[in-house]
Amino acid sequence: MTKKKILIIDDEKEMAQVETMRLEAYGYEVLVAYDGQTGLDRVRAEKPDLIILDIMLPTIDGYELCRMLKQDPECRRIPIILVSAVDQKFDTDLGKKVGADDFFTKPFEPDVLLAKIKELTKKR
Amino acid sequence: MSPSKSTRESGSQQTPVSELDLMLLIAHEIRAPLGIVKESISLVVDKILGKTNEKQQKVLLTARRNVDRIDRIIMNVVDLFKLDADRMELQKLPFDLMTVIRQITGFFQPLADAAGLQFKVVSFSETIPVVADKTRLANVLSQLVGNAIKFTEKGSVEVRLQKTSSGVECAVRDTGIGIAPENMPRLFKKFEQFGWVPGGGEKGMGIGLAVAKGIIDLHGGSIRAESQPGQGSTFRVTLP
Repeated sequence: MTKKKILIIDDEKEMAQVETMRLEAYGYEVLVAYDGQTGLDRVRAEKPDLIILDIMLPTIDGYELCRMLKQDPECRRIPIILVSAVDQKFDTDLGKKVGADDFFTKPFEPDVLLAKIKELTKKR
Repeated sequence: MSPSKSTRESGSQQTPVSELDLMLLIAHEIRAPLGIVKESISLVVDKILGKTNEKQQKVLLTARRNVDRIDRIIMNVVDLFKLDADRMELQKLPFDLMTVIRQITGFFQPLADAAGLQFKVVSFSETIPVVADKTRLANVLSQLVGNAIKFTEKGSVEVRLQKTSSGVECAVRDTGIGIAPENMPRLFKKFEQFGWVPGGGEKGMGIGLAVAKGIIDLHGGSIRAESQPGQGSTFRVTLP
């Protein structure tokens, strides 16, 4: 069985790195992008099985990127978990409107995140 | 996480930031690296990077617990400021309350064990769906369980979940030093501290219960305490 591919889009580089180590240990292939535009390019090129998308990003913010991907016939089926820092105001209404599949607050509870990833990647 | 470029460029046109805004910014800037520290420690504690021995595990767990402690202090101070400024906005989402209870149990069980206390959770159901601000509710319940362990020298701490006519009640009962009747009215006021911590330990700033009350009130719930000095205390949180 090929490994499922997860794309993390987060400008907090070192956080993305430690998250990558954990997800790799769980058996996923992990790709990383540090800004919205690069993230968009990587989604189109790599077609990951799931995207973990930070809301606050340079070039294209998370909500807008989510909206763009969910309107793209090539990418709309890829599940997106929108992520915010614990003290950020999370606009879940906007998140739902742009088509996010779920919402998480950082730092992640590893077990909860893993269960959600499994659930969302199974649906496809 | 840095503010986006556009925000930074338009910054010069904005009115000067309030003390609360400055506080929020500082808190955010501290919590981001703190989150990285915590996840880095967790990678080792969870043995994802390889085996650890018992002593290494113990030291790292202490480190992680104290990262959580810093985070809790920052969060409480920020929330206190927000409540005072009437600018607290809850992030209400549906979730299973028992997942929070299990996390709290996982966190406090080693502390209860180390203190020689019995720690148990009794619930009417395996899953309890609620709509609430998960992070803040977890913080409130952690505060109550943490206090119970802190102020109990021997005996037990029990978390009991019960269905009520309008929602759910979470009661945290301990067999600790209790609270003197004259201190009860000041219990949920900020910067109030009383009682001594058996065996020494984290003393805190006396804002945890004030913040807890503010948050539970905003949820439309209630928080109250009953106590017998020398016998123990019970804190009851109800949620609609």
